[in-house]
Amino acid sequence: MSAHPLIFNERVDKALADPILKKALPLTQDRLRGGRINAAEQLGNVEEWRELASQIRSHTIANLDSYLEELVTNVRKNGGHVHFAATSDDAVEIITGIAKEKNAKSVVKSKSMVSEEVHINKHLEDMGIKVVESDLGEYIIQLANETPSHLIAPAIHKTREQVREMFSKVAGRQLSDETTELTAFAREKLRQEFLQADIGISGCNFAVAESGSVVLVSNEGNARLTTTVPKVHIAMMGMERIVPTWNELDMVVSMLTRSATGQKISVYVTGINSPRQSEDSDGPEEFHLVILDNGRSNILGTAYQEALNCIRCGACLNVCPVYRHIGGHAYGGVYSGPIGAVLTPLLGGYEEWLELPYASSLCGACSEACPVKIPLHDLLIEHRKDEVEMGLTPFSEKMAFKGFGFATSHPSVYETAVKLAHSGMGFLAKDGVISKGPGMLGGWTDVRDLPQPAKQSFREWWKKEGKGRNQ
Amino acid sequence: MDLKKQEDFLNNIASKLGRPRRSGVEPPKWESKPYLHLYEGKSHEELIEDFITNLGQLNTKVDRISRDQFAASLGNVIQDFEVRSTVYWDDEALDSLCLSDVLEKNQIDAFRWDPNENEEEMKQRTAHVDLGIVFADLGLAETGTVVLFNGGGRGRLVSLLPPKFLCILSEKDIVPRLTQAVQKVHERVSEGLPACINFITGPSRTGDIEMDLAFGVHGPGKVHVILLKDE
Ligand code: SF4
Repeated sequence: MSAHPLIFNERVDKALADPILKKALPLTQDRLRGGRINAAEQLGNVEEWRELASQIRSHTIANLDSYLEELVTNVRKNGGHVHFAATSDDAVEIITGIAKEKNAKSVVKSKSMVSEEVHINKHLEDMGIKVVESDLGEYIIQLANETPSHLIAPAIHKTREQVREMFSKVAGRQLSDETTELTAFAREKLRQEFLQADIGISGCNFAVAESGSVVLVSNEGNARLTTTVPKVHIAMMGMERIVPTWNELDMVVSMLTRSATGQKISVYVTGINSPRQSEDSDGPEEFHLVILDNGRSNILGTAYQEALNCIRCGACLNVCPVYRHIGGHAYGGVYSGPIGAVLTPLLGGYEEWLELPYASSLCGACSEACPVKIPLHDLLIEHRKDEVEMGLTPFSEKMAFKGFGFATSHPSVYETAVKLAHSGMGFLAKDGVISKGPGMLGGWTDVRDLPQPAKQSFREWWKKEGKGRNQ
Repeated sequence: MDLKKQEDFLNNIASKLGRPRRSGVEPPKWESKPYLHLYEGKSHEELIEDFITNLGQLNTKVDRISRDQFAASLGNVIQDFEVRSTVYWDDEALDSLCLSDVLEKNQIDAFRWDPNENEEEMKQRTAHVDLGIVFADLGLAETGTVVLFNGGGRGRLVSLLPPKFLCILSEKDIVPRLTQAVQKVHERVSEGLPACINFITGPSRTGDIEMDLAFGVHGPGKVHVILLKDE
């Protein structure tokens, strides 16, 4: 799925030794998690929202063939082109094919995790095409030659000083480390790129079947530029990112922005319904929708089907005590945090991603946070069971049977889980009574045979036991 | 060839789901309406106040004025935002406010987004003016969002390229929340939607440098709304 030069143990070691991460991860987590909790409190009845959002997602996935068919019929009716890509290679062939046909010299992109899945930048660059990421965070990590480390905040592992250095190099002059100056430089620089780009490549937060629309959610406005300025727009969509009608869109967008950053709505929600129409004098002349499977269909009809309900809000990352310690890159795949630990082995296979289901404390905070109610920690336990059944266990078998992860026995992770859980409970308390089924820590205690956390830090435990499997 | 790919793709989904292919499925009527309590019982006046308060929290001022105060109100925006040049929609609603006259009186270098003009020139000009002016179709009280159905003289670059953005909206077009707006879009599907619909809520923002909030990284960093009282 993704080239990861280091093995899992090495990636974790590297992350634990990184002083920048140690500071940045809690800061980001707390900020985003706090935003989500406030937004949930304001709603008052967040459980009802989650329930409906979950029903909408499950219904859509259960009827995915029908809604995709409706979507593509409408995209074509509106004058757009549709491409189905069963594999990552198919997607690359389609997109490089369009670039070749258009004789493209440069491409601007707005944030798209699917494009990371198929490594489209590399393939376009190999053809001699200039590719520029336009989301500020993505632009920063592109300059650093790295990959995103968080679904919502891709560059949290970069400091202001590092950004200043990289931007100064591009600018050819010394910039200050003021956020406003750095941002103003990025605006100016990226604006030039937009005005000369031949193709814009965007992701797709949600497609709307009834009208053949692609809906993009963004705060910066780069997704609007990407889908408006260049003559050709290509939207890359994971096949599950769809809702039946605009009415269902309401619920998923409301949940996405509230869960991601705590905003009631993002600054921009943009519906792209067709290429430019005869009376328009702006907007792309051509619109292509690339629909990617790349292993997703193998999840249908399995115990893991609900993982396809994911709306990529990042809430599960922001509550995860393991993510808090190791950050996004240690997971090795495109998707990190609890959803990455569930999804990556499904898309990329157990052989390569054996340890990921263990990158969890099973505290259940992720499942409690998920706006579409994916039982993330149950799915992680399911993975561990499946691995044991297949005779594949990354750590000692005894540990695996006990539902042990590399985090379950260490106080620092346990304490983080408890702390996060407690502060998360506020919004569930109604009239002074905490009204919810299994507690935040329910998932934790549900797992049989879990020992009390030892008096030992995560780091210590990792040194002694986490690396149990010698390569 | 393409159709075969599509059929293979969709058939595979059906088979993985363990059932025959489905077609023409419609979503059920969702019983739950968890958003109702957010606005039920609120008067239109309260919704208007919500709209103003919510935008205020996003660094966006709203002037609530009667039509005859428009010239003065626009004059203030021009001063506040230090506007010397502007692009505006070719839109009857703006014409009815005599927008071009007011701009001329203020000696603003102004031009109309005209689909008959040279496209490249308009794009370049729009990229270099101080302010874009539009007339929104809807406002959402819960979020302070303005909704734009772009198309023709209502160019989507007008609300996007200039660093400052002025949106004019009629009070009567304020609805409670996204729910009512998507319902209106849904109702328009059969007659065909414009190429692009924008929901815009305050100024462009980013937190990508150490989670430090900054405005205007790509879209307009300053936004102002003039809300016209119903008369
Ligand atoms: S699994 Fe749930 S919480 Fe995690 S990113 Fe997806 S929708 Fe958000």
